[in-house]
Amino acid sequence: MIKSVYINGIAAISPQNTFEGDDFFSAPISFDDNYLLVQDADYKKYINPVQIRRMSRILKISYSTARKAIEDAGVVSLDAIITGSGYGCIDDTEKFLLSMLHQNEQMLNPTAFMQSTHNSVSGIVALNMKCNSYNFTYVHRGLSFESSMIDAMIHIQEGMKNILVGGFEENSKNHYQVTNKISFWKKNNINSLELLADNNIGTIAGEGANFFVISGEKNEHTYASILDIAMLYKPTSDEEVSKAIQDLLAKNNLTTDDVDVYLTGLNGDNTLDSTYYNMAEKLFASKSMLYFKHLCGEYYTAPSFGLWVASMILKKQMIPDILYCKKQATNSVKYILLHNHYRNINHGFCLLKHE
Amino acid sequence: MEDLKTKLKEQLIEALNLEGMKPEEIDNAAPLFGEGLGLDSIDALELIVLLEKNYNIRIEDPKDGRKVFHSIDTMAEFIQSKQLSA
Repeated sequence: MIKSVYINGIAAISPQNTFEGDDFFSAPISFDDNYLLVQDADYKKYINPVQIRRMSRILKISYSTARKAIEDAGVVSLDAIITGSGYGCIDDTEKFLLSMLHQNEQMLNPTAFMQSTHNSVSGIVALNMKCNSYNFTYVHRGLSFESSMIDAMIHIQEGMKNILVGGFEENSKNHYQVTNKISFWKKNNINSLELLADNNIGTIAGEGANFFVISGEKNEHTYASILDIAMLYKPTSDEEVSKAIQDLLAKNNLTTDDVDVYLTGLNGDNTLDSTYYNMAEKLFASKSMLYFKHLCGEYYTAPSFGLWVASMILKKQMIPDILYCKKQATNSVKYILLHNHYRNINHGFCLLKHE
Repeated sequence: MEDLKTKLKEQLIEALNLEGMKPEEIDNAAPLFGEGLGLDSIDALELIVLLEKNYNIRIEDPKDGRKVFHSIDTMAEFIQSKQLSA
């Protein structure tokens, strides 16, 4: 029999006030330069002063988020640490590569090099938590987070008790400028909270760290259970996406009628969003359709922010108005389908249940 | 010499990311490693890069590093002696 997998602790550092307190988008923050940065936390509360000066921005953000998720779950030890990131510590990678270029491969600073790896985050969490067991980082572009979550769910089936899973990404000016040349981002600055009103190519760049402690046991900390996760690579038609969703639901003895909320990765790019609208129309016509990238921006592991949003909705049984793309009356939210795709290449689906 | 020490302290704060620290808070004679600023071996590598990048001075013998990087005073004296002999 397949064991249920529960989300028992969560934490997010994002462009919104998601880290401290229990706020759930009561006062969403808007950005008007298509380049969203996180709201910095008081990192010194989580990182000792000797370590903090050598940590890059993404390390501080991710490590603090990881510690908060562990605290939230009330666990003292972890059986595994699994993270996902498309670009890892890109800012340090760029620093290191640029200094190689500018200094003719001489006089290279060791710190930026040491921190430029994708697994720096899971390594630092492991060192500080004294967790010598399984430690893995998935670098699978738009499916990096989903891959890490699937790995964690398999380990729960095999008997592990508490696993830290996280997705993280940082914005960097170099990356922004390069990808801007291939129309990843909107040409005109828009108000981020009005993302869907701009019917043009491109989206807004974002960043964040979102961590979860998952377990095979439900307790007083539980936010939701994860029933299943599926991935789809380069679908050739919307019918293929529709079939993947229906197959996922059928595998879990559910139909589209059972889903209360269709939570999407709509990002305001008029060349990429049609699949979500088609699924909403064909499969979830009478259901609420939500989105979250106007709050966090687009990045490889943005679905981890989507999972944070879904966890909060299921625990609080409340949907903030800012999340609605299409609103339908619902008494309670039992099942959420989280669907995100990265440039219509990597599709990820996560089916969640209220506990 | 005092100008060089102040400049050196500013470069050290930037290179080692000593957040919130000001040049006047670093005692010129205090040890940089162990006690004092509490720097470690990775910082030593950063200091080697700092000397080479900013002063074009290379530490050839690792044994010299111990003496040179003892304090701001010793670093400044070393830089000055190299500049005079160049």
